[in-house]
Amino acid sequence: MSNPTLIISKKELRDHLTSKKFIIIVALLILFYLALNSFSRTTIARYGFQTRLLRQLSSGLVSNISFIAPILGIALAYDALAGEREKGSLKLLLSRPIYRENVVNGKILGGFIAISIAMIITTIVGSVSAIVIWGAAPVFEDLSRLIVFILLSILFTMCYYSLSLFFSSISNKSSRSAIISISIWIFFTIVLPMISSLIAFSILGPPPSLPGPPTNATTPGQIQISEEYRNYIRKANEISSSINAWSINYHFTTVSNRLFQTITMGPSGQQQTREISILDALSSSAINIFIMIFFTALFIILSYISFTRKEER
Amino acid sequence: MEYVIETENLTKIYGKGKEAVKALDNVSLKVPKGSVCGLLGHNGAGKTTLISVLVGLTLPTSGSGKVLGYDIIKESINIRKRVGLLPEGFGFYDDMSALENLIYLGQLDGFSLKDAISKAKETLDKVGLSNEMNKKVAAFSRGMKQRLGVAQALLKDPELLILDEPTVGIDPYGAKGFRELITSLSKEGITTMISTHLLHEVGMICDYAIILKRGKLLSYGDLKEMVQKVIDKIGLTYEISIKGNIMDLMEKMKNIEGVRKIYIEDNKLIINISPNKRENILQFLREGGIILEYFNERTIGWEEIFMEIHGSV
Repeated sequence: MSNPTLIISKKELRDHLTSKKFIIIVALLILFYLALNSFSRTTIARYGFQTRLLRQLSSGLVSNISFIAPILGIALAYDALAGEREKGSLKLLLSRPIYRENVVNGKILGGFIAISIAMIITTIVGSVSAIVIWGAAPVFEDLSRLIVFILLSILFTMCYYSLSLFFSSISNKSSRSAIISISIWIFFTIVLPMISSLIAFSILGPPPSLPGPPTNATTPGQIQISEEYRNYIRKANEISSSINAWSINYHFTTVSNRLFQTITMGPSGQQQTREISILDALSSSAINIFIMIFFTALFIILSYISFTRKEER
Repeated sequence: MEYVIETENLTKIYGKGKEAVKALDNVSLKVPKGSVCGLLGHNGAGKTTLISVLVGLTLPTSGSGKVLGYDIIKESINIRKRVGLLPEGFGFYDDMSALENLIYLGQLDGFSLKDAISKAKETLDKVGLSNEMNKKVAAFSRGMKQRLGVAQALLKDPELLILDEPTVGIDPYGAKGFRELITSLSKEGITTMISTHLLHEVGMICDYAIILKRGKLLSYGDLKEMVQKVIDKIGLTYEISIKGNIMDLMEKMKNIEGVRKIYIEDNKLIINISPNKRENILQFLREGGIILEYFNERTIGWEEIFMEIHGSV
């Protein structure tokens, strides 16, 4: 093997797989799945919910990945270039007969493989533990959806990896790159969803009051929601979504939820619930997938430009 | 004479506008093959920038240059294939052993894994670190790291070895060992360029010198010739004391041909004379039957020589 990109990526991958941060984050993901599956076992035993693997796992999968995967992406990239610069090893690398592009390519390839391994391992462990802990019954459809979900998770994690890599390429200190990347993650994951709701409600004003239970309600406690209230919530959701669309987390959550979404069809009384086909789910979320790919590509290109143009004194 | 380095009006400006700094200002020089060349100058003189430009780590703003016959702008990869560089402030991967570090860098130099292993062992032996090859670099002393730094530069059997401040931060014993190493390498016929601000090192190791001041080339050439020019200019200084009247002696000696300056300091007669007239003093003392209490020829320190060329800063 004499390709510099492959040599650098091999070292990068080995460093990632043996690093404490990688092991801790993967362990966290696995622990989360185990906790989720243990909880599911309790609810199944109590309420007798369906034991279809994907139905029980999907909500946990999406929230787990959308929260923790960005940390993995940031953890693998924040010191990829800034750390080498800080240690002085970048000077040794660049004194070899290689191009700067080889360094960036090697880093990205190593990071991509490490992220893929993390996502595959955690999803497999999560699924197998679901089968073992609460006797989930996997079907072929579940497997194909899980594979698509793994690919989406890798893409989503790469979004944060490329973002963090960019800050690593322009920073001389890895701590600075980490702080900026984590701040962006907090903004996308916590701050923006809160702000979007606040903005929506401040634009629309206070919601119309909910009427009390109707006198002819068939079920005790049933509330008749007015059309006005429905419109208010729909508009609030639209405003909130349009603001959240600036967050890459929103696009991942949207496409993932659509992948696991079910639709209810048929006349009243004979309604049937069925899953949306994978192709339909993906095609209806094409714009979200495109934005994730664009986001990753944009920050990788920016990393290239800044790293190749930055003068190492 | 064959030259390994040739530059023509090499200029490097960092930054733009008011913040622009001219690190190199029309530097034109030549370094002959087989020499041990000292690159001298105070901090900020442009030594590291010149090295970076020569090996293609930084592009010059204007001017041209060739290293080992290769253009520094268009053929920097070919230069880095043949030039071993020990950059200033370099660092290794502390969590890897000395051998692992060198194998990795050797592979990036273009060696196969098998060749990189044997080359790494060979160079570790050359720098006296073969007994420490499996030790983690984190446990290395500063002096050992410097030796390892030289080892990584020697991996590719370089035609030109460039060392940027190689003895900074190492103790006198380490520095001595380091100088011995460089001397033995120069005997093998490797052209060596050593950037330093420690002038005595240059005198001990080098036979050629380049002197920079604030990015400008002050002087370059054969070190002996350079030193001789300075001695011719500043002359030789003798310190004499006698039992008799020193004032009488001063009166007699001030008429000796070649005496430039004569005065009394701490009861000693201080005489400055042109180097080619030194025999006149010795002859006067012999023939005059003067009984000396003390006689000393002041040695000209490297600092003095350097300051004479460099001027006050």
